[in-house]
Amino acid sequence: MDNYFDFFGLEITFSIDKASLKKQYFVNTKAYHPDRYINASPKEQLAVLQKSTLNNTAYKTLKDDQKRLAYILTYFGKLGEGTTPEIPQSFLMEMMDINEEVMELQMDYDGAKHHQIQEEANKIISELDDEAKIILSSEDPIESGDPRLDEALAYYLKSKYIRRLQENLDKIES
Amino acid sequence: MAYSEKVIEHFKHPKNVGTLDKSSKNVGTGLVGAPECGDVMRLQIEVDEATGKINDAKFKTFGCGSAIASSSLATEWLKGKTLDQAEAIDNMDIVEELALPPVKIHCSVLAEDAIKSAIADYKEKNK
Repeated sequence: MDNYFDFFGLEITFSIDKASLKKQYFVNTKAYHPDRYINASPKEQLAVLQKSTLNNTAYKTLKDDQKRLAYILTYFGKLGEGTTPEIPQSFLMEMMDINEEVMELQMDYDGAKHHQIQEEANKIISELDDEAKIILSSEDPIESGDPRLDEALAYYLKSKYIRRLQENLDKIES
Repeated sequence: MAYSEKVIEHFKHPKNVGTLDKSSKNVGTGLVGAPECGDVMRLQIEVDEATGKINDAKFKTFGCGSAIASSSLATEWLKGKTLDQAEAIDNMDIVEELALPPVKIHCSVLAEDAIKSAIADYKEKNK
């Protein structure tokens, strides 16, 4: 099956060279520009349009670290339809507690407390980032059944919770 | 996306929000999460040992309106049911009652998982 990495002539890796991705994106943008196909058959024009759309979607997905990770996990069947990713109970408990604190904050605002929870969330995410750093910065091609995929999945799911939490925290006003 | 009136009602006035004593022998606790949305749901049941029926149910959910409504409805349904009846609650019953759109079906699945996990916890404690 064709995948976004293939499309840019890349192997599937956790970390990618964004500068060369960007370069290839611009090369493709030119190559699939509709102006170059004014005299082509409708069928050919449609095919080019599809390539151009794919170029945009694939680029947007791959250049973004979170989206690229989600794409890789989905591609290898770890995420998305038909999967039931599990989160450790201890982590869910931690999320329950911290969300309870956020709720109290929403009802009864306290600037110092707000700051403290924000720090706590930042600490959790930076610990998660540290744990996952070796894997996420790896340029070794990923293959089906690669054990790194499970670790990357655990990181992805947990970081989702924290990002959501951070969004909620940012929305709270005194 | 518009929420159905029933979802809004449960969301605005959720029933049975709260906590039961986790360490109590006749309380079962289910803690589940939907990582994709960052939702976390805790559902607890208190079983009357004499009748074998659930006499109280509480929940606390951090998530979207549909997740809150699904767990609120689930706790309403659980009261007065036997464990077998509770186990039989299907997520599609919740979907139907709340008129959840397809993109929110996973919220009802979460509620069903929470029920099953609370029952399992109770059974484990009372083996």
